[in-house]
Amino acid sequence: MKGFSLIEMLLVVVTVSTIVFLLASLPNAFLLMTKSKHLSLAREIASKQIEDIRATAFVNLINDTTEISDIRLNQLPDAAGAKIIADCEAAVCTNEENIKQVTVTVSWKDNNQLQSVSLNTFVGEGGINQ
Amino acid sequence: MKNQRGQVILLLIVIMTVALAIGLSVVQKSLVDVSTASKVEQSSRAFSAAEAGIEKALTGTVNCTDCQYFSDTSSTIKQINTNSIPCVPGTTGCAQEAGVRQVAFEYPPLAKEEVAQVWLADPTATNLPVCTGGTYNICYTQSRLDVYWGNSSIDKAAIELTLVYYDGVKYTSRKWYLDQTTRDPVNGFRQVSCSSTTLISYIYQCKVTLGDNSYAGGFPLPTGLMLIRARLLYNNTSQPFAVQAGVACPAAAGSCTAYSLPPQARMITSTGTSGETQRKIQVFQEYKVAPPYFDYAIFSAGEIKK
Repeated sequence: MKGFSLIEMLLVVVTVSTIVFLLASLPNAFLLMTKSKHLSLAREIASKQIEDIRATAFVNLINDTTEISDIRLNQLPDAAGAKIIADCEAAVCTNEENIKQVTVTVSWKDNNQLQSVSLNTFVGEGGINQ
Repeated sequence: MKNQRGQVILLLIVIMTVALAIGLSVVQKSLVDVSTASKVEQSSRAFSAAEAGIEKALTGTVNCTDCQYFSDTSSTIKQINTNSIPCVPGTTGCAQEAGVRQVAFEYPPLAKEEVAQVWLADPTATNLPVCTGGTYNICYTQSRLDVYWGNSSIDKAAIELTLVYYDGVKYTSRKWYLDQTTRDPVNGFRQVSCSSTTLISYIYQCKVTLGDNSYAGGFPLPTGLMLIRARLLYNNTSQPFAVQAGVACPAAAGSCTAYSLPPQARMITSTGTSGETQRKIQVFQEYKVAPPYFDYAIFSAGEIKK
């Protein structure tokens, strides 16, 4: 009698399941690795911007929103970056201290979804690296 | 029916196992990568928040918990602590009561030839070298002063101490060059024997007591003490340095300022958080420290006569 034995059926099921699992998860896995690589790069770009701002003399910190210029942004898809420098809010700096609030944001698109990394900090006159 | 033997099943099982192993490792690596990248990003945000806390504290005394400084809640400053050090026993905010010896003023570790300066008179006073006249004496006036340095019996550090004092007419300096071992070539430093001492933050290799004349040659301590500067020599690693008042402040004393080093530095600790990640930064800020090259330069308000 022709037909398939139980062992053959089981093996086919296991084989097909394995192939389906690999086909379903491997592309996602590679996407995730790319996403984490982009996230790390964006974080490094933002951190470098913060360091550069700290190395700038306080008197030269102008309240403004400016675009980030970093050659590594080319490695991120549809990337853009902005740094916002503003006076410390009166509710926070109650003694009118010479402090600027700095926000650096790097955004890009992963799989057509917008991602971003944002770092907030203060830079004060006579502070770190000043 | 003929017996049929083959190896297809075996090969299929081996191939499937290998493919599954590779697939699972790729998936696992991608999950670990994403988790790590996310944690590192949180760490950067927390670090920036901690730096923000330090900046805020550098402009004034700040002590806060859950300081709400950012409108964006992805990161927060969890805590900022500012402590004046050393504090005078018995004063407001000082944990030490009068009647005890002030805790040592411990400097962060010094690299080779880096200079540490410890004020023995209040650096914020406006009428130095006069120490009296106000409510309390603002200078350390005791006859003994303990100096600690080094933390290694292998990387042995020598020390150059410069004591600046007012002799009643002018400011004068006195220097000591101390070493815990003989050197080649010979440096002519005074040899001191060292034994380990543990203070609050560090373990020190050597200790000398200025004003203790039981040492050969003695370490005479003059009156009118203003400040002491120290420079570590020969060390390859950064090593700590500390100064401590040599006597306890009597419980009956109206003020312990004459028995204690004046407050002269701030220790600022700021903790930033983002998600579950915390980063802490500590900054040591000292008031009114002359740069190291002042020890090698001659400054004169008038003509220098040889």
